[in-house]
Amino acid sequence: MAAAVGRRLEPITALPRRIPSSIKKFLIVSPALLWILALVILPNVFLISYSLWKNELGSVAHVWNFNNYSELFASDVFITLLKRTLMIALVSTACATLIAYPLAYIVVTKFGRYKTLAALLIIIPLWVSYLMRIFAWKIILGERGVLNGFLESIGLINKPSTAFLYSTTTVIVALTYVAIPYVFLSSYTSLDRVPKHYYEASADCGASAWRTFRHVIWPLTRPGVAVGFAIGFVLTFGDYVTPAMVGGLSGTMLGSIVLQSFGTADNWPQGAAIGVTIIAAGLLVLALISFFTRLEAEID
Amino acid sequence: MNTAKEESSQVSSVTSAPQVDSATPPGAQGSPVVELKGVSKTYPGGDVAAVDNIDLTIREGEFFSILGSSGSGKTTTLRMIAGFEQPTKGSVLLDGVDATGVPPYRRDVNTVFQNYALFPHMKVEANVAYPLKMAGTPKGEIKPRVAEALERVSMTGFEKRLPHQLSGGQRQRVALARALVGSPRLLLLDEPLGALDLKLRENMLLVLKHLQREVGITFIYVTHDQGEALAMSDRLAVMNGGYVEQLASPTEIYGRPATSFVAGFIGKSNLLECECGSGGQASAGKMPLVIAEKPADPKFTLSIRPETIVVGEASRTLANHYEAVVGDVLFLGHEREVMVDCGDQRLVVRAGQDSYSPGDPIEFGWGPEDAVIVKATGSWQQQSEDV
Amino acid sequence: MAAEGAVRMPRRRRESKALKYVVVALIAVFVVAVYVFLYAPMIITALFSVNDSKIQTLPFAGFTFKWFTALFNDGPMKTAIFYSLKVAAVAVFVSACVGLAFALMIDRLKIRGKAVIQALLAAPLVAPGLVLGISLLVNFHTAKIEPGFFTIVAGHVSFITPLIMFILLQRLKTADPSLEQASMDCGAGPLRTFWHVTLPGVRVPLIAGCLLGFTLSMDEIASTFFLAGTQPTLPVYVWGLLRFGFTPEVNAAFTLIAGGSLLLIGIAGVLLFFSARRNRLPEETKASRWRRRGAGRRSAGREREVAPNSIAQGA
Repeated sequence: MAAAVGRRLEPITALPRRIPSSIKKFLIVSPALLWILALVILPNVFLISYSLWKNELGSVAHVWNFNNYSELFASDVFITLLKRTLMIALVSTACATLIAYPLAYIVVTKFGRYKTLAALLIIIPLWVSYLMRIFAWKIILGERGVLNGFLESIGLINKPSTAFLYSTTTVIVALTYVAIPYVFLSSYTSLDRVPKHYYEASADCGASAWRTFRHVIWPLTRPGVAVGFAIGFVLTFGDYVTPAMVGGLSGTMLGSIVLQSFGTADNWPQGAAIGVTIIAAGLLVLALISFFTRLEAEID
Repeated sequence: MNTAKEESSQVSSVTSAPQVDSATPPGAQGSPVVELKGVSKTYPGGDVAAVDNIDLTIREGEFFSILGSSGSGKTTTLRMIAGFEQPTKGSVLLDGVDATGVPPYRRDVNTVFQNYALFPHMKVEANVAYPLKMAGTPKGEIKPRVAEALERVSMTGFEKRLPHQLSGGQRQRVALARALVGSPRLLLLDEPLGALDLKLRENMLLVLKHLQREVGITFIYVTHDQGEALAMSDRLAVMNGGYVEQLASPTEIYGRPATSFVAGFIGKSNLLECECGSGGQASAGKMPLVIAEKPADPKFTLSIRPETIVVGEASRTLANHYEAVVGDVLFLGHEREVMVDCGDQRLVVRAGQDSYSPGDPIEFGWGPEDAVIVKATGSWQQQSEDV
Repeated sequence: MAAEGAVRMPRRRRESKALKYVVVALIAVFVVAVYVFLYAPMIITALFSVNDSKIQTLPFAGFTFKWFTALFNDGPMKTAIFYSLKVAAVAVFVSACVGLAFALMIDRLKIRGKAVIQALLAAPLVAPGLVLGISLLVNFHTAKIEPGFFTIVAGHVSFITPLIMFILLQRLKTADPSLEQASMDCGAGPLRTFWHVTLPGVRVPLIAGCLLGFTLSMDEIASTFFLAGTQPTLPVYVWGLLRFGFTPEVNAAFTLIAGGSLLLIGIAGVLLFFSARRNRLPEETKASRWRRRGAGRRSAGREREVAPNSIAQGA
């Protein structure tokens, strides 16, 4: 028996002792760093580079210049488009927030044991084909679509309206639809974290539901909503599928131009420049939001 | 295996002072299974040592407990024996071989974790078979040994259950079976009864004690519950602030605490700050005292357990006899705990069925041999060097 | 005033009760409306996939499966479906391996800047598909790699990996660290501990993450459009159809995809739900609390049964 312990007592001779732990740690982290370099940093670096190069008859000449940007920002069309895209993204995300946050509040506070199920039902559409969901709006809002048919049948209108489809409003409605689950997810997570006894303590102190919300719940969940809004904004700002499907001419967004640039127009540098603009706008909005609501750096 | 004589002289510096320890059960006089020599552990970034220069010898076949409150260093000590931590200073020897740097999976030591740590995705039989599987035991041998281990902890019939289908007490026994199945040299138990309720805990105390006797494996038991430690151990070490205050048998620790910490931590005790006057007369504040032996230091602390103080007329024949006034009374059911104001000292005595009210006169006393001189809290190691 | 007591009665009691009902009704309408809004497109698509009419309008012409059969006979469509399946399978496999590795690394390693690394890894997940697509496109173009299978897979991997990684991190965070210690204590070295204890612990979230990643990959259009070569994936092919030539076959395809996605997500959800319950440390889970309310007497009875046994056996 005494030999049993002794027999197996050979200290591990592998790496440990002599290599300082900081180098060991670096080795372990390096694959992740390489990954980030290859898939996140380099692509964006190249994107910026392309935006600073020249387009020569469909191929890219490595001539450094700011022309792409100066041309873009001098162009009225582009500025209008930029403003419109901003407006669409802000309005649709705002609408989504106005719907999603109260909904999340209701689900968290009023649904009891079914709240997780209710929340999942709202989030599930995110995983179902995006293309399908947008295309369906075409069916619904088209001239001979479901909405028109319904309105006609109940007598609200006499003949089908073309107003529903292929307009800026259509895009806003569709993008609101897209953004709701994202904002909901973030709001719900944030609201769910508020312990039940905060509500009770506040009520105990004499506050009505509204005052509890205004003074306790809202300040606590504001960062979560802000994150949701930011994500929704970024997603809607850079969208091109929705404008292409239901936007028509008056509903084009920046993304639509990028699509052309990399496609038929074959002007990659220009497309890259717009892409960079989109990224910059997104980051700017993110910065503004985090500045105003002191964003917590947690990515859920 | 050393003989009892050789062994006792070898370890005389680390066992309790009186060599005739009548509480030592037979079979505990074995060769040292675990020795900690001058072991210290400081965590990186910490300025206080979690374990501060301790020496321990744990003998073959004994039920050894390490008792202390949280932060005392007891769990760290256990983890160093198991191999999950390495000492910053000193060495841990297992069967006389230096185990520094040896990982847990190469030590013939098994641990029962505080939360049992049963693998949730494996059935009970797979959990218990795991150490055998890792040791490369031939397949045919595994099943009977698992059955034997489960039987020993009275969990036969639960082989196909998953851990989450078991109650706390059942999980604990499966954890025990898993730790014992490989017949390790040493079994470490990290506060295993903490999560159980009272009745179950009392049950398990007996189970563990009998189990240890049955299999004869050395147990090292870590706990903050003195009841457990006193009830089950052959010897126990009381730890405080990273060092060992006293290492002795339960009766010794209870009856003759070495330091004021031990006196206060184990059971309840009256600690009197005393002075020995030039004429040899001892007193605690305004209370005159008769003590059994002359103290080394004119200023010393005396410890008297409340239950050894005699209350009422019977105390008149005792050397230390006092008449005083009742301060406070606490009704405990089977007895009353009475706080007495005697001179400028406050003592706690037990009043049995007699009823006392605050303000009543009370007489009590004790014989000089019932009081123990205790050192101030400090490393027991250092104290034994002074002696 | 002093004799009022501790309870203050609201002044207009009866009126406020009616108001309460109205508010509740409004809220109910709101909630239902949102759900309808969210699910209407999918339901309508499903409806039209069995509608016997070439045009997407009301009224319904009749019930038919002909669009589905047409779908199964459509060569290019089938090729696109299989191609998408291939892409998804490869992308998910790679992402699972890498995601697991990264999740373990982030959970175990003590370094500063972990949040930054996580944020950078997650960037492809939160970035709009457009940005992801064009940035990777120029990346590969510079590296002289033609758009095709590899580029599509790379694009998908870039956002499925962080997805799986975060799902696993959630699990790893609540995992019991003493399990791996117990494994080593029982004699298993680091590799064997990983295989026997760590991996089984994350098996279910890993599978769930793979299923979710699979659906995302099958559905991906925004970035895949830029990264696809001559052979389109299903969404890219359908996109082309929608813009340049449409038949209700597309509805049928959509319905099938939606059904498949929902099925996979349902499975993933169920897996995650039940495994989380099983692996939790002794504290109660919502589900067990839920169960206990319904089966309260039964489970209480089980506990009582056990105790006498243990006393008899343990003594």
